[in-house]
Amino acid sequence: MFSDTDYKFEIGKKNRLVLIAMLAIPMLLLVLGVFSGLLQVLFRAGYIRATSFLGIEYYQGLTLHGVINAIVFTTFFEVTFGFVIIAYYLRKAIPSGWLYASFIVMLIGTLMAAFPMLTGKASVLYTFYPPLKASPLFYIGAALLIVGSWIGYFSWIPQYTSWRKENPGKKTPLAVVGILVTFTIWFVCTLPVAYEVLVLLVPWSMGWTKSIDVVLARTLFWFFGHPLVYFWLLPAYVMFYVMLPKIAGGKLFSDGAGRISFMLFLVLSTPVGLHHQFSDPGINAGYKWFHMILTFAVAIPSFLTAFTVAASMEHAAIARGGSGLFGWWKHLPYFDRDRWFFSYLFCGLVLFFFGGITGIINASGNMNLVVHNTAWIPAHFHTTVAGPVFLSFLAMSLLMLCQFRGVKVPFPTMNVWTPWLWLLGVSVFSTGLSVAGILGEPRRTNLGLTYANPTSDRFVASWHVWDVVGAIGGVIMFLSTALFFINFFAALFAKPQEQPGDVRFPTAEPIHDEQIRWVENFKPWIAVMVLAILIAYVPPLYQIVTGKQQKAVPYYPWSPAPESK
Amino acid sequence: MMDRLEKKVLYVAITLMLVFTVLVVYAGMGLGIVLPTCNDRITPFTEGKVIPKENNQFEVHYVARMWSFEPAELVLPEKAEVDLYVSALDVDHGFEVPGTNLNLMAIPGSVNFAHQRFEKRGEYLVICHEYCGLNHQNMTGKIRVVSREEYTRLMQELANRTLAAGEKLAIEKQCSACHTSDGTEGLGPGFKGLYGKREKLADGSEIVVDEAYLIDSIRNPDRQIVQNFDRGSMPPTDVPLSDEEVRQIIDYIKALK
Amino acid sequence: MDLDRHEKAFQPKGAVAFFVVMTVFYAALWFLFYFILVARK
Repeated sequence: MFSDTDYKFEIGKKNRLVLIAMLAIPMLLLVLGVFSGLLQVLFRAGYIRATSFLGIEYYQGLTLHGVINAIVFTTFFEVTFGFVIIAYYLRKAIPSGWLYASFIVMLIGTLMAAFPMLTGKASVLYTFYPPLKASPLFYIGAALLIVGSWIGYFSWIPQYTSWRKENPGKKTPLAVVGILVTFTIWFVCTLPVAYEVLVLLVPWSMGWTKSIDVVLARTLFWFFGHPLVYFWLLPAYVMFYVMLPKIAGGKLFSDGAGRISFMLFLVLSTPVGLHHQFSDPGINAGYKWFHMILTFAVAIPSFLTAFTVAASMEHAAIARGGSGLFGWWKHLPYFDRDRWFFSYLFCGLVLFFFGGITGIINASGNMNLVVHNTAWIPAHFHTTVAGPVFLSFLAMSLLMLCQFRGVKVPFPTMNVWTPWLWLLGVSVFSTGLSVAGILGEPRRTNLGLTYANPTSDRFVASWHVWDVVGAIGGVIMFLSTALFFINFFAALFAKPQEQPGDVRFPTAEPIHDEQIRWVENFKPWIAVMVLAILIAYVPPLYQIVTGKQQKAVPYYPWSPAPESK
Repeated sequence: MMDRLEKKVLYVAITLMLVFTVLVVYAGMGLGIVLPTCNDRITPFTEGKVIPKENNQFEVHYVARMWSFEPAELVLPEKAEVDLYVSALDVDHGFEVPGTNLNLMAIPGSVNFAHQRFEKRGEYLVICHEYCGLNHQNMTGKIRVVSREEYTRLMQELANRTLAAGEKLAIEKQCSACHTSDGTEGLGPGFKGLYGKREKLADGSEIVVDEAYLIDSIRNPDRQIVQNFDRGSMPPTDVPLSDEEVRQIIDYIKALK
Repeated sequence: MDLDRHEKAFQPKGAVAFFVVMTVFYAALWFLFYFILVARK
């Protein structure tokens, strides 16, 4: 996978141990998160017809699944990846103090939020919409996890600005552009949700304030919630642009496309959140339309990426003997154990091929009426966050772990097949849930008790067969991750055969490498980003804050009476 | 700057998104398929209600609460044009009717609005599709769209049932001792045609008889007494009528047009 | 040097073909949902 021209970076023992912990602890939690996912599909198909199974209540399990898989695992991975990428490509040492601080704050936050989730006091799902109320620990823990994730970013900025001074006129390494854009988006978009959590939710959950503006809470959450998906996607894009072409045996078609795409994401990721609230009251239709237009715009850099990645793949395939309009696809290293990283990334791209259009459909204004809150929605996001994001994060976690520990992948054949099994699983799963969703099946619902229960008078026969399809897909997905866990945890404990801490990233050379001056500097793009956010969000927030909607008191999920124990 | 091909890729992508935009706008403005929207005209309500209007139009107030919809079952004649106002009493709920484009959020403190024409007969499921607590999967309602003849028959049946039940209760609780139901004079104001009537009160003010007035008159008979009727005639406030029974009396009075 | 120029002349026709297929597929799926939306009016 690597050549001698790939730079070798050495990570000392102190930092190495923390980095390994930052990979392994979330991976351990992910075992629980993935198991919760398996239970979900069994409940949904009516194989489990109960409120709980193995001591995990349905909505508690759903909360664990969403929070662990989509927030804890992803955030920890990205901070870890960020520290390593910045150090590697800028050739600077990882600042230990900042690394430790990141790890500790994020870990404390995670444990703090985990406790109420595991004891059933935070079954509010990862969107935690009020007036359903969780234990204050849940909100505080979540806030700590988020704030902890900023710490790394704050250390990378000064490292980057020194690098710019030390390297005048040189292009910023593309991976660094990607990571800095990722975390700039993250920092900006976590501000509204930090406000929602710390200023609105915590006092309300502690009883210091009586009632809460639900529409405001939702709007602040989705102000964060859409850029969140770009926080997830962009590190995968870094791998697609910077590493995938090299592992495939080729070059990156256009370095400029990557830079332009990242800057477009910086500007357009955030001012689009209302497309998650198309069916909400309290917000003018005009604002919803405006966010729709901006959402269509943020699809553009992904189209550009798709083309550039395909062109890079074609270049690699031709170098390996391929030719023709479509025949070259045969010549990529799909099952090469030594290039296993390619398989993970490629399978992610296949899923994203479907993920992209399902996202555009969701964003298309009134078309959202066909799909909102139906099972189509989880079908969509398992082809995106559980597609390219999940697979690339797993693969990079394994790659980094093996390099930190100085071990080879313990079971290479199983490893190269793991992503293909995942691809099969998600394809089947998402097919089942998409069709059920178009037929009207709701998401986030314990179907096994009613809609998927033939003895219930709420049973809907037309959905049931698709739920079974979903369950088959889910079982395959579970098997695939089980195989991954075997490799990961075996690597965690295997005896080192190489020098631990020697890090190398396969780094592609670009074919088209021209300097594009207008994407060289972050500052003007950040200014445009802020302007776009103000234009997109100040009017609707003003409408909400001055609106006549009434505030709401807290409820626990288990009782229809307001905040009764 | 950018490769020629990449520029073409950008143009194709932008064109595709523009085509989508135009079609979406057409579906909205041309075909009238609009997103649910807020409205300030109606303050959040706590009771479900069906208000029939002329020309087969209806206004329905839906209340979503943990874990049911009110009205639980809505009966409509085919081709009914319905203005739906949806709110929630406690936490966020959803309101979805598979087979239609009805797909709204029911948010406590706000009222959401959507319009739907129920073209075809059939039974439609109303589903809560936003997690709202442990019994979320039990939260459903029903909309039955029937033929016009069937609708008329069902409404008549409902009216008869209301009349029969109300009449029985009025006799049982001795309301009919003083309040007649056939327009003849009695010791108290007659029930026939009472609902919606303009009455002059003893203190000189004028009111229109609505639900609130009726409830108050039953619970506190002398407070808003109609002029020319004696105070102290109607038994005092601890008349043993439950809220449900008061409701039935009011429905009875309403049915006595 | 010559190799470099040759490389820069690389015309990714296969990627164009892929992009066309993707665009057509995306449009088709989108129109399917548009049809569903309009039919449910």
